[in-house]
Amino acid sequence: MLNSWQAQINTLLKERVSGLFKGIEDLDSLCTLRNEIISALISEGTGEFEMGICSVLVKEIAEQITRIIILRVRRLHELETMAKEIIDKFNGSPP
Amino acid sequence: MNLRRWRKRSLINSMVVPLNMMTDVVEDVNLNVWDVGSSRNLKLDQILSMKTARERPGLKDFATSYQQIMGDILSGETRLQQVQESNEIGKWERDEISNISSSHKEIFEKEIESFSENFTALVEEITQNENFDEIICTTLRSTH
Repeated sequence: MLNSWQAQINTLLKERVSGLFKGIEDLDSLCTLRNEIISALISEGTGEFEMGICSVLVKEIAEQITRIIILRVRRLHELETMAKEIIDKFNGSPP
Repeated sequence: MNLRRWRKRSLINSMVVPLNMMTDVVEDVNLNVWDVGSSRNLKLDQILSMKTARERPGLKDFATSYQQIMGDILSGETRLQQVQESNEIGKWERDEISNISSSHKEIFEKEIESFSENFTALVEEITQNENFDEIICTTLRSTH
């Protein structure tokens, strides 16, 4: 019965974990949460079930951290575009 | 050393190059931007932002965005480094934070150069023309 329950939890988690941390856009919060999850689930003699859950959650947090990094690159490009537009406008304007 | 090669030398150095160029606009800021101490660089960001807002009002939005993005990048880098150095990392076979951190550095090393070049060009145009504020204001208004 325990095995069946654990299998259900694993399946549910894997199905629904995608985007679980999407609402958290602060890197510091994500790192703290990651640490909390590891501390809560991993200790000496930790079973395979806890290890599996921890692994799924930590990987999802890593995905969200990567999304934040990509977002920063996008914002840099927006600023770059703004700089280009300013220069083009200047170069195209009459003296 | 060739400036472009030097810029590639490290992420932090790449990021402070535009700040150095900005001192052309705010001439009386006598701070060493090559000092990569993060707290000092953040202070420099703030000073440049305030001075830019006062002396080049048209650049306020641009300077604020720049300060915010660079602040986020620097603090993110520091935070990931802290997680990497923490003890719990040893409990995992695959160090996903190290992977993220490496890709983080690679992305910014690659991307910051084109951004830096455009920003440098912008600052050069500004320093050459006294009437640039009006053009900047018009452009910023049309992009917001």
